[in-house]
Amino acid sequence: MWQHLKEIALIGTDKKVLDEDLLPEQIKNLMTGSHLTSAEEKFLQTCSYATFYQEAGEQYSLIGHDIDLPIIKESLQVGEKEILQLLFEIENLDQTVKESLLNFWLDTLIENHWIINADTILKILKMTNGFSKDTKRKVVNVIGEKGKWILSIDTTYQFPLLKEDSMVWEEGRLEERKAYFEEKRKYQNEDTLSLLMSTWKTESIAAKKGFLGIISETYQQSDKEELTLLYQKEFSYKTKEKKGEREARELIVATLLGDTTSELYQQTTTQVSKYFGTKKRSGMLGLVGADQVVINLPEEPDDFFTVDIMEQRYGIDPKNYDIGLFEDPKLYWLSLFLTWIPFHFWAGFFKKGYKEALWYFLGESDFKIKVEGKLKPIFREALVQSAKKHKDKELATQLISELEMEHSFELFSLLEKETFESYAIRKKWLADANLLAAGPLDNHEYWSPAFSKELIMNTYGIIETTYYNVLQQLAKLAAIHLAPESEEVLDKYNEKAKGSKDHKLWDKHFYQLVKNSLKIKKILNH
Amino acid sequence: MINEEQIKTLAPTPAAYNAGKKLSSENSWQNFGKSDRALWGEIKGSGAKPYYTQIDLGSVAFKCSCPSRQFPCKHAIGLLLLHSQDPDNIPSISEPEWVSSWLVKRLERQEKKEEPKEISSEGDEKSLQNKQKTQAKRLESVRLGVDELELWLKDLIRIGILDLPNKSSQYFERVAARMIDAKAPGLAGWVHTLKNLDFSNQKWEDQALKIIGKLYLLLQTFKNYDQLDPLWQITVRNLSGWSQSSKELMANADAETVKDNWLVVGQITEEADGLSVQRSFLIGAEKNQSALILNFATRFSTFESIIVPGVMMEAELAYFPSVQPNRAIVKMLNKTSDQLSNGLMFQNDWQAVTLQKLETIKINPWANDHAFLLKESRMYKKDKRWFILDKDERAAPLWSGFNKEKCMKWLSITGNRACNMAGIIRNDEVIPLGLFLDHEYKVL
Repeated sequence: MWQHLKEIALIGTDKKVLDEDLLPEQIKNLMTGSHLTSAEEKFLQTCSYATFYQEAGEQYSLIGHDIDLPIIKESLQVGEKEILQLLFEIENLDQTVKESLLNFWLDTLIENHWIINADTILKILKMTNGFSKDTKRKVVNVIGEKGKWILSIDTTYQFPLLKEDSMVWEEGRLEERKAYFEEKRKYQNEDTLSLLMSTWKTESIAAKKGFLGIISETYQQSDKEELTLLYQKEFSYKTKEKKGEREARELIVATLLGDTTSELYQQTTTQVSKYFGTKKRSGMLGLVGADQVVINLPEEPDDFFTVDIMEQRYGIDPKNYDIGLFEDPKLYWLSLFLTWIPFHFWAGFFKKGYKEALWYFLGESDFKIKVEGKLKPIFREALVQSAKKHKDKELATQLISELEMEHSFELFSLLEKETFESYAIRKKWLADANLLAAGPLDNHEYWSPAFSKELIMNTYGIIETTYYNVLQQLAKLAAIHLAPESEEVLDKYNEKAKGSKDHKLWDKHFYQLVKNSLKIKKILNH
Repeated sequence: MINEEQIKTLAPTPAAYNAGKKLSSENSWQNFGKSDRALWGEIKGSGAKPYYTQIDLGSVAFKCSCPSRQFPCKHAIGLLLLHSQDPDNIPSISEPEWVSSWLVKRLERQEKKEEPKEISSEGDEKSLQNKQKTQAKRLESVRLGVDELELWLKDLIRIGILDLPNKSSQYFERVAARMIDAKAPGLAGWVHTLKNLDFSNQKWEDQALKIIGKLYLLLQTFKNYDQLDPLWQITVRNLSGWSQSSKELMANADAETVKDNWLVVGQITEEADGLSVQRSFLIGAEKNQSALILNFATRFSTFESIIVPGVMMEAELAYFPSVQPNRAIVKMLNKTSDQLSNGLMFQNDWQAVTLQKLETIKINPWANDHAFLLKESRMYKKDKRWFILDKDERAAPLWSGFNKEKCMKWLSITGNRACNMAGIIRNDEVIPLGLFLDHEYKVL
């Protein structure tokens, strides 16, 4: 009946006539005796009855097959109420501070093998969906089996997979596979190379380069053998090789040259050592001082500094370098070796070690070029990159004292905490949140109590003369790094500020945020 | 105690909630306290004096001395959130004068409301006559509207509804506007329902036919208005869009009232033409009766009463007269609580829920949004559609407008465990409102 009515309704009563024989008895009876004349009226009346007739008889249908709805159970305990409640306060903090404090909170839960309440799962997933991978990895650890299950069915949330998931590796997109590989290398410390090698032959050259890049950043000695094999076999020079293959060789070279136990390091440093020599210093120094250590690059191609060797052995593109910076390709090649080979190798040739080596590479007139009327050291970037690549704190410290801040900014994170703090005080950076943020502390590390005190005092001292956004930025940083022991100092200056006309500024843009963060950390530390 | 989720529903806007949240730390408040019936605090404002924020915990009402037009304001939300996080952190002390005097005034107002209004004065007689005159005039106007709408329906059905998805907005709006002119906004609402059908849904044809069938029956009933008994006349008038006065109902000593411990099973707020309509669904724990409380707000006014979803309200409700009374107002609220009552009666399966719905439409064929309580339900997805399963694995389709996040909430808190639920059936689809888990009711 309903289908018949629907057909009439769709094309109209002008085109299709109601067949009363198709109606159920009850509706037919109701229609009997009605004085409806037009087809539309008859149809509409029937439609009214049929609607309720239909609704009265409708039942929800049985699924009709076995359905698999496994019950998700938790194996870990839900955390203590006092700790779980802190999430609410953390959620309330400024965005930049939020992630840092959340990490403290997550660490506490993870250390105690606790999970969160099931009704907070969506809240935390939503809150952290845009956070870093590291934070998300921790979140996955506290949301329990139910949370992980939600992540597997709701694609709104992009969280790293921690479980073995061969589907991602075998069928995922390159970016997903790279993320998976990196995740495993960074956090699970498993034999990831054998996983990579199991599919290596089927990988494209672009994928291989991507994975080699990850290996380079997360290199462990156990990778050496496999990388050496790849260097010697698959990516050894071939006359008709593709650009990607050469680039892959260069990536492996850059990685192996950082490992002093690798064969390539031994061979290369032996070769490079041959170029070190001495020369008489000029002027007075030549009379009283020892000879100066120098690198004598060959005038003519020899058995090492040649285009062929550089390309075939080291994968260096012979054409692609900045000719404005390097007048001679040999200088460019040397700059690459300076980055790839750890700086202690180079410093070993100089009596005064790092210091003298740096003077040489940054100050030698042959290693400078005039750019816009100024002399620029051509190895500056290579040395900065070397410090970063090998996480060489000593090189970073030396470079910072030799270079202008704009060139050494990215090395601040490599300094020892004490070095950075005394440097920041000496250079009067306490009101510059950007510079302080570039320092060596991770988000879960504190400044020393002395430095924290200096910062509070300095901040208090500048309220009158500074903008509120400067205070806000300092507050965000202090909320993360201020030593818990300095809470008393903070309160003392808050009392002092109460009497000042700028109390509101201090309270709203600095004190409240820092105080709340300290309170949260205090609870977590207990 | 009102929890964070419930406070979210009380906030007039998400921005107001976020602003309130920023004030929910202890440090934000100069002082705060609570008694067994109220919560209060002083917070620094822009002037020399602090703002005085107070909350009646018994019947959930707010007052703040701040100049905000939002209700509840961010201070009240902040104070409630502070309380919800750790009630023990708020000292129980004696009420300051500004709190106790406000509570006394509220109580006096409540008592005054309950006093029956004296009638039969000469003025009232006149006012009654005027009212009858206005009603007769309006009836005439609606009758004209009914005739016009019937003609439109006939035209529609003569040419067929196949082209309905391609009709311009004007096609519907023109006739809806005519119904408004005819003082029948309820009929305009039916036209809008037709216009707003989800034409991408394969079932739109069935849905359109059902709307047309029900609307036609309503038009025919209205045409018989004079032959209907008074209760039916009221019901049909309401369906056509006559507004019902809460004040009159409150003053009506003959109105049907029910005292019970009501669970506010959920709330749905929908916006249309600048008007927010909040529907709160209640089910009585002792008498197993359901009720619907409507609340309206516009851009310029907030909801007039506060109903918190998920709480138990020990209250007397007054029902608006109808052949099947459902819409009600809170006549007397004794207290609210977050402790679930034991008496709630659950249906065993979808068949029982459907039967319950049938009993209602037998009395009032236009009744919709049927509230129910169902045992052992689970959520299930098949071919991109969600269903609610009963214990026999009958599957009721989830309302197509149901928020995906709420589906995830259901799944995350149950982990596929079957649990009792509350919901409503709207046009054969199910809108889940909350879940009963571990002796708690969790609003979705």
